[in-house]
Amino acid sequence: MHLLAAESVEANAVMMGEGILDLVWLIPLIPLLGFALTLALGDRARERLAIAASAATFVFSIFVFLAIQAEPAAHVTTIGTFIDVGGFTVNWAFLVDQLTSVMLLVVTGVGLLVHVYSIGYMHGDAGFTRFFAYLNLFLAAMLMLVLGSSLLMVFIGWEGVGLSSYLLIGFWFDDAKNSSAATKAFITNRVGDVAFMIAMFFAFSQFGTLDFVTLEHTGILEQADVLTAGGALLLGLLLLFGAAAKSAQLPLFVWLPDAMAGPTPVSALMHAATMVTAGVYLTVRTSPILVQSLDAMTVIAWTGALTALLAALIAVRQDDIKKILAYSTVSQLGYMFVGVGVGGFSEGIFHLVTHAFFKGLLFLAAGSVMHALANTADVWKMGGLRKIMPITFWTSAVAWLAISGIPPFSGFFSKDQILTTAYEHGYTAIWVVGLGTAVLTAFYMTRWFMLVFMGEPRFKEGATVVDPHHGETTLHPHESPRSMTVPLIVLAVLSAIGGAVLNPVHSGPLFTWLQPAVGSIEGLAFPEHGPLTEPVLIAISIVAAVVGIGLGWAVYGPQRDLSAGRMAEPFSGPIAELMERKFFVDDAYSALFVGGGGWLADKAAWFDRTVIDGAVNGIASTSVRIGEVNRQAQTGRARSYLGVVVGSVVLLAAVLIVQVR
Amino acid sequence: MALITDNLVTVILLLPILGVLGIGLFTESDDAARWTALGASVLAFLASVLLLFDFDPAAGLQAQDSLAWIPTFGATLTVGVDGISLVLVVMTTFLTPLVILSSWEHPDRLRAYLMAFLALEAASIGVFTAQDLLLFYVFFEFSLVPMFLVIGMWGGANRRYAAVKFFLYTLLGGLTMLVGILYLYNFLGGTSLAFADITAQLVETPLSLIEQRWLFLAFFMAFAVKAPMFPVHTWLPDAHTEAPTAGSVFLAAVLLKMGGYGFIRFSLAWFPDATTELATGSGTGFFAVPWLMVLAVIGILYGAIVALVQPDIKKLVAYSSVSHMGFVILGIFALNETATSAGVIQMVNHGLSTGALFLLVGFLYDRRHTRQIADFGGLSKVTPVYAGLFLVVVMSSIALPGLNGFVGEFPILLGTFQVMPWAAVLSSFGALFAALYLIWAYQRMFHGPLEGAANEETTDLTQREIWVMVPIVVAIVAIGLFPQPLYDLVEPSVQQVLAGVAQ
Repeated sequence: MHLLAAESVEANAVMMGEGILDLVWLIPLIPLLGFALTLALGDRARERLAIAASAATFVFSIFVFLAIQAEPAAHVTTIGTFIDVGGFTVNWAFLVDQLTSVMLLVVTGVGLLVHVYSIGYMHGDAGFTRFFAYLNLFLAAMLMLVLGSSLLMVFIGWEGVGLSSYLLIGFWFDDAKNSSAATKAFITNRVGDVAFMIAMFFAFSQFGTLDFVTLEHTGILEQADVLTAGGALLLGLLLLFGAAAKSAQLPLFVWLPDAMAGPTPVSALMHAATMVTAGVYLTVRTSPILVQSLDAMTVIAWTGALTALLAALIAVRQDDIKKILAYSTVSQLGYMFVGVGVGGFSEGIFHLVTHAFFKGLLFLAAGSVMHALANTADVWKMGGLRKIMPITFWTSAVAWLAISGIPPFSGFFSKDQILTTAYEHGYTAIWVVGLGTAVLTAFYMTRWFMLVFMGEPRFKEGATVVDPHHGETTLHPHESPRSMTVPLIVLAVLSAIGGAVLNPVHSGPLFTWLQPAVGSIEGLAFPEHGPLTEPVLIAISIVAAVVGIGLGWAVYGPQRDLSAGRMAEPFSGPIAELMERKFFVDDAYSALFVGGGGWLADKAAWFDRTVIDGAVNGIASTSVRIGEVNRQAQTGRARSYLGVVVGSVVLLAAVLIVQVR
Repeated sequence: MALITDNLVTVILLLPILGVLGIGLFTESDDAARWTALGASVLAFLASVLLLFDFDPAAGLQAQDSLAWIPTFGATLTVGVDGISLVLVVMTTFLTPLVILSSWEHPDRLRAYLMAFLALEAASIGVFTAQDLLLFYVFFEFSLVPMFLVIGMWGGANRRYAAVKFFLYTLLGGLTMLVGILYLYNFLGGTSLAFADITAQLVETPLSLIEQRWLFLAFFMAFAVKAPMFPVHTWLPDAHTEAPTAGSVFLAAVLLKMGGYGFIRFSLAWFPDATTELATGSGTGFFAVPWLMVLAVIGILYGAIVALVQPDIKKLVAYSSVSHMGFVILGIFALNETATSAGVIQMVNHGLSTGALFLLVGFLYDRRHTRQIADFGGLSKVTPVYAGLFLVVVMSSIALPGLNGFVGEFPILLGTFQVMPWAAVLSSFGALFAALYLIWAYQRMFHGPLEGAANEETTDLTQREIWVMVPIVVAIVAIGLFPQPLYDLVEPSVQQVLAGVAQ
């Protein structure tokens, strides 16, 4: 009897799971409706529908996770045909497997927290309702991205998040700077999209489908081994280039720091925790293809490593509270690409998850600080906030230790596992770069934390300042409202224990969970690795973190007098200049593409006016004469035109008759 | 009733003509003319929807109506539709009432203005449904006349130059086609001008390759100018800049499609060897180059690059048309079922999104009497509805997935890649450039600080203007999410045409 009951409970669970998975298309649809209704109802809706939609997707995602746990396999739910023409078939279809279920929880979980946080943060903004509508649009697109069952379905979400990112970066569009940042983000992402599209064309030419998996096991992930070595390399690189734009990697990272022009909750949700990780997700999703080409993977690893290092160097000398975090995000995304490139797909996703926690937290904390300081962003005008904002301070402290890689906080586990995998798969040089970046990371985050919270305040309470969004106001720093601090606390708990719970050791629960959904690296000919063993590697990682924090403390700690502001920076000269000016990458791009492209377009327009138009008109020299006649005929009276028409028809008839006789 | 339902194509064709006559003969007031024009065009739309429901995609050419015309030549008044014709007819009848609604308060000689557009509608429907070569030619050339009048009588300051340029370009193209028609007619013994007869006769007595090449060229001139293809596109920016709003909408949305339609109906169907040679570069010497694809790719990239630096928003949209129609040409001449079908679909999509762009630009021009992008700025603040609709149409035009532009452009490129990878790869950059010029223009017009009294006082769309846009936006989203019904209509007809090319 007991046994029977247990069995039927299990059967019910499976059935419920199946039911949930059949309805999985509702997950992106709910926030999409939330977007449409919120826009349509305007200020009658305010945040209510959007919050409800966001919460619903989170609850839904939990059920999906449980369903996958009950039956761990890839489930495809098809709801209809999208395009089916001439052998090219794509369905509206959704794929749920272990990887999807993790992404769903991260996206909807952080999504819900940021929605709640925004109630307090955006309070009083003229575009309050519009903001929540856009957040829901983003959520819908992002969920489409992680649920898409083919490259094209993913691409629909991919472009959707691009649009919502455009809308939200340019949310305060009356400032030309924000609008330019939005345009820059959209265009840079489009560059990657071209690569993504070409990747799809090529994939279709090789596989005859864009579906990841099919019932007949003919999906692109299931028959990836039909690719030639060159084909696998090409496809891997095309996907990497597409991913590099969305995930702000070399050479396409330039849009992300500018994207901080958007409201801070947007920076936390899209430009740190979720959207920018879409590229990492894409490469992991297509990892069965990547493992066909070790060369492609090596390129991915080096792209990630160099991006991580470059962005960390830039972050060391930025003064904007959000820009430091933005370059840090670029750098941490670099780690994830290193993970993917060296064959640590699950490790890459692990870092994606912990990064979502601690970087989401850091951005929300930055927002809380800016909220308190009339939207001041310069860290040199902060300091001493630990007493005024205790919750923001303590939660930030957790995030600071987590990203710096101090055990037992989450970032330690995920970052260390990527570095260890790199070393053990023989990528020693990349391991060294990653380790150096880890020192820099701990250093710039300590700088950030010290300058914001520790030492003496470098602002004057009661002073009159100009708030970029609310005009002149008096400075009264305060702890943020509950709607903002609760998400901070939740994320702090996750940042603290997330790593130890999810994957404390190399083959921990998350690793085991993801393993069936990612490409198998068995049999890949990785280079021989060095003599160091895992405990030694872990010890070295910890030392790197401690050294970075120690250096940061020495330079920016509360024992130092930082009232001189920037003058207190430890070193200056050409290298500091290079870091402050972001290695002139932006300037070079703007000269090349804006300057060069503008020149080309000007020349093309001149060519069209004078050469083409002139030549075609010239060749038809009769046209000039006819033109003269016509100009006289052009009396503006309908009758004379009618004459022309009748004349033409008569002529036509005459010619025909002559021909027939 | 049966008389109507049995002769739907004729009914659709006659309704706008009746509208012209009705306005010309029976209306005194502008108001009566408005409602007559709207009524006739709405009825034509309803009739075409009825046709749509009766249509059987698998049955090929259908709903034929035929009357004797000039028996001496074997010319008949035969009309009918296959899938390709049908989608273009429905697009035309869908847009015409909206064009009329947008001209509701046109201040200058309204009755004649509306008559011109109904005449244009009739001519366009005639072109898309004619099943007789002479009939086709008459409609094709006749469509010039009302458009010439619209530009020449209601256009901007430089309207005469633009009107004459438009007329001469298209007329000269048409004349070479006439020569081709006459040759073909003689070659086949001068018995019939019906499409079906010509197709059948060409199977029995095939043209030599040399003849095909010359005939291809003769027809090509007419359609390349219309489409327009690089380098015979320069009439288009001038015509668009000078034409009144409704004229631009009709020109871009409907008239350009006659070019793409002609390519499929004649070049592919009757001169398959010459088409294959020029589209794939399978010949030798001059014919070793896939000229058609080369010109399409140039059109896509060149049009986009030139659009980038246009200071006049209407000219920018005009050049974007050159670029977007390049995708249509590319798809058609890829001679691949996916790409060619998508080329047809993209004609509809381009009609909707570029038509909508011209409407929106026109609404702003009515308020501000300028089209210089530099004169605008920060408009989102005062015209949120207008700005929102503009953004949706921009996104449609740059092929954002989920909107209509994507479901045409993507299969065109995907299909083209399977036969000519380099052409698809180069053309993909057209999608990037489109984002560049449109998003940049959008930024300059709608974002940034709201400066100057003229910008501050710009009013948002009126109810009437919103209702002109709503059906188009609904179509943009509906096709973007559910394009398959359109493909189901078009694919069998494209299959039939391509089967002839492959032989």
